[in-house]
Amino acid sequence: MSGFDTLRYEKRDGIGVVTLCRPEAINAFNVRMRDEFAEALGAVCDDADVRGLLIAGDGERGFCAGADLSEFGSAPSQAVARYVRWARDLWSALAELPKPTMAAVHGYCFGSGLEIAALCDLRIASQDAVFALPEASLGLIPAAGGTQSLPRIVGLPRAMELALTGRRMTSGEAVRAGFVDWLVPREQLHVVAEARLRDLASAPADALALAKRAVNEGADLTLADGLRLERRLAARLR
Amino acid sequence: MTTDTHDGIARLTLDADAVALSGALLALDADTGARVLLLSGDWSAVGASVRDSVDDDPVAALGALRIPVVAWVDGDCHDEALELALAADIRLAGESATFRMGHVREGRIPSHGGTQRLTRAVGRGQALRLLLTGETLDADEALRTGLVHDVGVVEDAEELAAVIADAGPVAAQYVKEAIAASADLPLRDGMRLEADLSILLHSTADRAEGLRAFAEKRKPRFEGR
Repeated sequence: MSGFDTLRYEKRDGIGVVTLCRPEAINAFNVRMRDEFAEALGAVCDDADVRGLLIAGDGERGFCAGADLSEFGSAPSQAVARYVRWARDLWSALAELPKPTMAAVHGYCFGSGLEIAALCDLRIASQDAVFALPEASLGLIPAAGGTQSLPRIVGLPRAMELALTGRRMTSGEAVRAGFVDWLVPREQLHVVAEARLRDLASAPADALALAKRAVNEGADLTLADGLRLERRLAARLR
Repeated sequence: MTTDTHDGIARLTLDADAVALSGALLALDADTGARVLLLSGDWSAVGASVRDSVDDDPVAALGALRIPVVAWVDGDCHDEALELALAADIRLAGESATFRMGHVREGRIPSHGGTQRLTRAVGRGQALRLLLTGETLDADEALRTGLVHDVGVVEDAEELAAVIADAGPVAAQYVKEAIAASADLPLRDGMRLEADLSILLHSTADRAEGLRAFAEKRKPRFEGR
């Protein structure tokens, strides 16, 4: 698909690949990228030939250095900012995409970059990847779901510590913390990520979608309700 | 017991007086100069005192604190002392620290949040193991279990508190609130809370200062408003 300025969207052999593409700014997430990302997500969701989504970053320096702060403060009022946030709920759309999602992370993965990776189902990284949530040091808080997604992956204490201190987490620590699922050499990152995602996405699409839903929705339910949800979803596949 | 606040770091040294601790924590919530609390001292003594004080619950007071809390634990942190430490946001241990949730061995169960906060901190499997066996963990075992963030020296805790004191004070409080809520809210509701807190921050002078300082490549001067 063409016509995007801030990212590339490619369909390759059954999977969709979104590459954040503002390498001069380490792929800093700006308003334009938000709109184009939402459009690409819609395309992935609606296209039956696309069985999984891989998100990667262009350029040498990293996956995504965070939000583009030069655009902050451009919302005319808090009421407008709140309206805009929910006019198109990009982050829930990513979390709830009914297809497996994977982030392939190299270099800087800060702020919104970390949050995008945290909203994916799986994370693969190269050894040079480094993670941080620096928002509080700037008088901000994570706002792409990071305060909710990160503790669900690495647990409450570590999420609290990372978000309060803004310190950098190495790729090795990220693996030990359960944030990164696989660590691979940099030169193989995108090839291995595509192969892994294509392989797991070759399972029946409805089973993948329902397993993802059962896990994510079940995490917010009591055990009894989660078991009922699982039985109901499983019955659809029989 | 008095709080000593310098450069945004409030320091409380624990002793055998849980009632005084409650009072100090309540007073701290009104101390606008305090951006982070560093708790250290005699965990064993305060634990015994918490157990004896029926009317006062310093653990609840600590858990209700809006500012982030760093706990420095050296020595024995058992039973009520561990419940108190679990109400902190970040726990650092010295080499000689030991941890135990031994209530069940004495025919009791935790009553200061131990069954709830331990489970949220280390997961259900490890929480049940620690509660049912009452086994004692050394500092390194506590690190592997996820009970503490790191094992080091007291200067590490000081440094950590200083880093948090340098953050935007309102932002740090909102980060704490949003992440704590993640354990209680469905993802969608948690994201709503996060977005609302984030947009509420637009009204603070600190956010504007943080963005200005970033653009000017200097350290921000936050005022907590």
